[in-house]
Amino acid sequence: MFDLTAEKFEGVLPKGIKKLFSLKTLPRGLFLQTASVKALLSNRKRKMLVYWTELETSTGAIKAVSEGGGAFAIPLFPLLEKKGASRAILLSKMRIFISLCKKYNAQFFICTLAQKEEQLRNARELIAVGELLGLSENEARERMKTLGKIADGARTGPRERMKTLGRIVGDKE
Amino acid sequence: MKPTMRFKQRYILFEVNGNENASLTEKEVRDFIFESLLSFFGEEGFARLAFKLISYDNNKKRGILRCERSIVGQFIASFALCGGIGGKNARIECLQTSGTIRKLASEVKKASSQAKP
Repeated sequence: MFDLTAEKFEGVLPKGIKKLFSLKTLPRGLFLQTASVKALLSNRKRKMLVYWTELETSTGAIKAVSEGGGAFAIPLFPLLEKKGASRAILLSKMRIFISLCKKYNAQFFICTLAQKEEQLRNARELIAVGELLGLSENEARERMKTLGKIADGARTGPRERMKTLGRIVGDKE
Repeated sequence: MKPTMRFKQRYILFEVNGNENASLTEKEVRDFIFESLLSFFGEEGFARLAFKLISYDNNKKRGILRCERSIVGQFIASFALCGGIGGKNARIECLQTSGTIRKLASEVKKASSQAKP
């Protein structure tokens, strides 16, 4: 189980989480935060993590990310900041978005995108939120592994492999 | 009452985490739990929860809650979606779920004995 955070938290690992990926340590270009469908479609061939702030039910965009091998990040922090009716609306949006992702076989994962330590959640809590958003327990558990597969896969790309072999001049120490 | 008709219960061990948790009183934590559950589930949902705050130790910052078996996930999610307790940077973290209070009480004992030396 993995989690994606906005800030880097050292020495803190919530129960059940194997690794915390931070936006600051992810390879450049792997994460895209956008509200526009245009930006999403222009990057559709890249395998990347997408945080779509509007969570629009645009099937074209969802299909594009699915075909590119990317994954949608569904963060918890907007839910923490809202209360009452606005939170209920956001929950409903997330539910519909997840059901569309399932329909079009798009990958997605639930993360915290925490900016403070208090916003971190343990694995059981993230699974419980997944259940709330219409996933089964096993499904939520499996979806949580998506982040690790994509983020770790990006680290072992051709450039990274060259680095480890010491073939890129300037990267040698 | 027949055993099949009663609520099937689960017990949840929770901990109050955060920078300012030292200044939280027992009443603040209790009030927060009731308010957050009531706002999340509503009055009708709260009635189906079989909710009870079994115990809370303000020194260890740990306590045990009871809820209905079929909605344990929603119950944990309701605490996961809470931002802070009384405007402070503190939160309730659900640590473990069990069918008996004894198991959770032994966990609390184990944790406190490990922390002592």
